[in-house]
Amino acid sequence: MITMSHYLVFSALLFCISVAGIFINRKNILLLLMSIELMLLAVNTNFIVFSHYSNDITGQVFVFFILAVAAAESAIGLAIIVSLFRIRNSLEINLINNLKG
Amino acid sequence: MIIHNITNSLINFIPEVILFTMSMVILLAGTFECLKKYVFHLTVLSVIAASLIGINYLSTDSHLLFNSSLIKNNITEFFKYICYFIFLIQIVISKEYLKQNNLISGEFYSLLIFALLGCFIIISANNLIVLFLGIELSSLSLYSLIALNRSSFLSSEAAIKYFVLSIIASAIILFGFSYLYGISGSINILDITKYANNNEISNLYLFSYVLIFIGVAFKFAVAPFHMWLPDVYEGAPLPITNFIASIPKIAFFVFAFRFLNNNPIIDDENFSKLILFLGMFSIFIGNLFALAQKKIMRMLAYSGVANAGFIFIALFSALENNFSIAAFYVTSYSITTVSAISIITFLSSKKFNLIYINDLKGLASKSGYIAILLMVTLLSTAGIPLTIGFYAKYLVLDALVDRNLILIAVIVVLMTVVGLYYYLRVIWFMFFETGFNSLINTSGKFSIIILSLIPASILLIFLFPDLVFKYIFEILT
Repeated sequence: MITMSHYLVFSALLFCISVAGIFINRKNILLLLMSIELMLLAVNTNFIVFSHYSNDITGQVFVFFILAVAAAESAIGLAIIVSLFRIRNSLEINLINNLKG
Repeated sequence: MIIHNITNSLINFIPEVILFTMSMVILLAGTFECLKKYVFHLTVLSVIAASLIGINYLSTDSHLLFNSSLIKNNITEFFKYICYFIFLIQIVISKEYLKQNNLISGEFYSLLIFALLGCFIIISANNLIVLFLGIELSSLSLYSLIALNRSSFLSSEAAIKYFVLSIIASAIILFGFSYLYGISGSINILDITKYANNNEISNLYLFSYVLIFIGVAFKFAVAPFHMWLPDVYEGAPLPITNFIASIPKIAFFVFAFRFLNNNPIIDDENFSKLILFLGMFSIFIGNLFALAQKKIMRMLAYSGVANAGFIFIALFSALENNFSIAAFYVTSYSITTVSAISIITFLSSKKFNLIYINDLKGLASKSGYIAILLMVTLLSTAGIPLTIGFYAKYLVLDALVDRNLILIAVIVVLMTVVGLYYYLRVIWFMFFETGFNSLINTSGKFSIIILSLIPASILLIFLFPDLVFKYIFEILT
């Protein structure tokens, strides 16, 4: 039997994996975008679970807003990456270190 | 009935509606060759129009708009008018700089107004969805604004750093929201507060608040989460830095206020310890790292980190739900930092971009007046008497002593003294070194008059602090 707490643990794990993905990843900026997307999906899972178990539709409405914003965010992120790639010809994170004091 | 509600809400929300429409108009005007040169005038006009029309609909009691998803009362209007004031100064000062860097375009001003609009929505949101959309509206416009200078590698780098860390912050805030929704079963912030008052604080509730305030700490750039701030300050075009340094801070202060106001969580021992730790750590890191900086924007960034720590300590010391000290601190800090960055924008709006602190040497011999303006501003950020910054820091320390936290107050004072060094170093360069770089811009009568507005008010408010503080105290209690 899958209960509410299973779902909550699942989404918390998903969130932790995506945070780890952001901080461990040292190779490619595109992977960062994927991790960010995963992070927002973990939040979505949480909202859907709470909404389902409390018989309240607002949580699911919230999910639609998060999905829409996540799409806009990836679009802008990709645009920034394209402009970075045009100047640098590389997507490695280690090379993005020109700003320092 | 529903129609009546909507029209009533729209009338109360008319300044934001005007800003939204005008940003569309400005975006469109930027595409026509004949209208292109008027985008700046249109922006100034629309912001002034929105603020003036807003005055007509001011009232002393609080309204809930759009099915209680937005709130409008004295607090929101006070902070919005401070934002209008700051925003107008920023765009008027930055015009020459933008012209020099070929950044004047319809989309620039349109996005800037969208960012302002996002901050306004954060200020007046009373609903988790609206709050989230406000945060995203302001930060999405800011990502693109930072990266707008496409030929500059530093700008793109600053944009990608801001992008990643800001989304992490939003996602952490959202994760907290999801638990908050799960516990209280509502997305209305007033209902969530009511729930917290009627029930005992559970661990999950505490956890969601911790997540939300870690996100807020990211946005405020409080110490363990401050990594993006110096890079963004250095890489972004100066007018955008000016925006990021001030208006989102005000917006996120109101965000924090809305979540803590009348909420029993403020008396929770663990939660207040977290806020205090973040504040203290941030004062340490900010002041110590600022000592080592050679670039002026990075120095201001670390001083911003230290000041964000002060804001968190002021939130911590908000005894008996009295947030007026923190509100006063946020107001004074954002006004002073806008003045400092505006002066730097003004100085680098000819052929030369001011980057190193060295570049300021001998400024007093060329234009003593501007040097004095910058000196007043920096002394106010440092918290020297005769300026508003001193009064703000004094109030925070006074609140700490009232709570019998004398050791913490002493540490904070010591760190502030350490911080004094790097402000005084800039002043030393301006007044006692010679060899002024003639490429630095010091001309422009109108800009100088606008620039003197804030330092003048900094000195005036010190003479009559009760005028402002009493007003803030009144509206927040």
